[in-house]
Amino acid sequence: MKWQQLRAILWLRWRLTRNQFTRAGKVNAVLSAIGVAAMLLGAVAAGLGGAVGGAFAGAKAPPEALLAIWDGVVFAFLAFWLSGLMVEIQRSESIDLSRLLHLPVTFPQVFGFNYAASHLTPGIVVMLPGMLGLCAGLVFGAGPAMALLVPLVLGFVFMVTAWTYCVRGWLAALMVNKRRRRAIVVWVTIAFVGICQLPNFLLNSPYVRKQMRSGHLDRRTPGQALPEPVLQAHLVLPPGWIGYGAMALKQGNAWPALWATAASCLIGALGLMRAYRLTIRFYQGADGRAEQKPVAPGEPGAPARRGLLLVERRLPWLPDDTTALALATFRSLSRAPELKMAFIMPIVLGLMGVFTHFTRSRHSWTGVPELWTGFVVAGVAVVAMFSFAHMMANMFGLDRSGFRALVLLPTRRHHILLAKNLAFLPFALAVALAMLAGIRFLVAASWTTLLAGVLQAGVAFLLLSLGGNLLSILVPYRMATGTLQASKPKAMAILAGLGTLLFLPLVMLPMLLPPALQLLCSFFNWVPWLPVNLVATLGFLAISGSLYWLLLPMEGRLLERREQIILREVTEEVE
Amino acid sequence: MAFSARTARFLGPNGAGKSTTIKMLTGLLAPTSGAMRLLGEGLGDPERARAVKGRMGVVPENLALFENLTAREYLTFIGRMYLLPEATVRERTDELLSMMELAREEKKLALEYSHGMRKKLALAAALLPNPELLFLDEPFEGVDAVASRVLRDTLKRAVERGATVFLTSHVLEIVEKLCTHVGIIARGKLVHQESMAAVREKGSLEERFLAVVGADQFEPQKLSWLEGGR
Repeated sequence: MKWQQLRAILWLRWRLTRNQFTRAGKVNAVLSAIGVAAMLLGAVAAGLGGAVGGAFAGAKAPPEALLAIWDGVVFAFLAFWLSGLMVEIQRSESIDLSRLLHLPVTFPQVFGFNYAASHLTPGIVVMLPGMLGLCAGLVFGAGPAMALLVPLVLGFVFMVTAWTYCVRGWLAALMVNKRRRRAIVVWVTIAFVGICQLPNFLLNSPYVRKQMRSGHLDRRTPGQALPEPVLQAHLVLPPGWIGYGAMALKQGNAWPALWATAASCLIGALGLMRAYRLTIRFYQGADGRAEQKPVAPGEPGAPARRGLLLVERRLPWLPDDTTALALATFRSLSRAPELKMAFIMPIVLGLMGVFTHFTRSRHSWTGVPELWTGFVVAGVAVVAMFSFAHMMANMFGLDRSGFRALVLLPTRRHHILLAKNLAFLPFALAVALAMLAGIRFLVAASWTTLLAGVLQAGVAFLLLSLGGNLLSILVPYRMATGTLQASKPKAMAILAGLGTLLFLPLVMLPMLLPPALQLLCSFFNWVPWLPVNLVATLGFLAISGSLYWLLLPMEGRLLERREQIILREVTEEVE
Repeated sequence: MAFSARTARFLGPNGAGKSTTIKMLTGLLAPTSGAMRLLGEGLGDPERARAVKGRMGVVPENLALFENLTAREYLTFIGRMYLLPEATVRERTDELLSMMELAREEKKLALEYSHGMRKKLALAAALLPNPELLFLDEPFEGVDAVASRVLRDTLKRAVERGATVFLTSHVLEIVEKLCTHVGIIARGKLVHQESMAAVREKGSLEERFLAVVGADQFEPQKLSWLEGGR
């Protein structure tokens, strides 16, 4: 690759990034500039802090402390790196190789450059100077042998980036299919949460707890400060290699660091080679796409119909157009990766909480007094609804260009709002029920309290719908395809996001009144035979239902007045 | 401008305002001033505008599809929103999917479709309620020759049954065969309007268009390096 071409590609990458921020408005440009400045300052601070800390730790700290310090640093680097990777996977525009291959450059050149460019991430920019600063400080504090940590750190970073690049290439090949792409984004996010929770699972698993109780995990050789299993884990798991190498260097043994450097470079090289082969295969067309089944001549074009489609079904008491829109939106949402994430994440986290609870102290309730459980249950009902707040507060942004179809429809606008709200209801209720079922394991809530919780979820949903409708109409914003991220957000969109976080909890405040009434009645021993929480919640449900029916037509009229403004905001810029 | 039971075509250079006009007429864009009437109804009153929407079909410039629905689901949804009987929706959906050659791809989501297939699906949705008035913004762009022919015939039949088709297109040959009236727009203003019969008497549609927008007087542009220089 000629220098001029390399410069052109570097310019392209910079320009794409710059345009992404500057074209999204002045406020966004200023915020981005502040972010970049903070990142650079962070890099300098990390480098200096690492050097000073390293000099101090090198002189004073025992070898085992160096292992712990490096473990922390490596963990921070990996967390930073993984979160950056998540954003990268969700981002639709990057320098795609296929956009460059028609130019007079060779494939290996473009591949090499793209790999190099993949290092320009906050994770590397901030953390690498910190890690190198720490190495320099250790050299100063503990002697020149510590310089062997520099190739070890660079080898480790090479290993991580090479395999990440390989995985990204593999995912990119899979993501050629748009439908599959969205599923991958969802599952990668869930896997990320799972990986982050892995230490929690492991440390709380019955096996590890049993081993700890029996003292197996605490065995150590004479003169050794750390238990043997911990050291073995550091030898086996690559993220532990830097820490182990640093500890051994401090003890005067250079071999572990040298071996770890060689192994990291080898594994990294294998990752890069695999990435190259995958990329070649992808651009030669072997991307794993299933071949289309040939259609026999004379075979009828339309396949046989099987049963009713969901969008053909009817719902009781609802006008036909409202039903059709509610079912179509429900169908559409059920396939939307954004909703899957909102739907699955609370359940996964709830399951993790239950698992943690059971493994920590089998069959024991937490110490929440029964009178206070009403507040816990009401809180859970509200939190369950909040999983969807972000989407319900920008319903039309979620429709993207589909909102154009809604504007063209001869449907009353409050029917559209009603249908949109109804489409969210099954998801919100499912999450609420799952979380309330989970909470049954954690607090000693009575069945009437739990029933009140289900009804409170209904009240919260009605209030959230009203608030969400209003925000959707007043501050809509465009969202990038397949994510909940605002696309080139204006200052108003950012404020709207913050407003959603601040405004909707205020709307939910009345939810605490029924358990508060129950508490008050118990305190004064009023009507002890009456489940006050449940009865008050029923009253609230009636009030919020009436409020919903009263306000919905008004919101419909507001939507009618603002639908062209909303359309301009939520649809693509090409118009 | 007034058309009825006809196929009217809107011509104009890029950026003249063709799509903007269609957007305003169909309610996708609010006009800054003036009044509009369609099918004998003023569009200023939201209730009447909604009633008019129930009598027209639209293929807007950037389409109006729900990406997460299949073709059949989308057409069923549109049919129900126009309050058509269930059997009619099913029957018309089958016919339209077959006519637009989408039946074999009906299990795919709209987001998986190519541009041409998306355009066909949007056309099918516009035709499904059998509207009195059809607004089509570049209906032939990205549509293959077979579907284009089918679409032309379908539009002709709709006009014969009393519907009015209002479309914009850059493909002069196709529209010359299809349209009965033509309007030419430049810089946001309707500068010319006449029947196709009158256009044909004076020459071709291309000549007429270039003459009206003043493009026939421009010097042919040349690229220096194709003329021997560097």
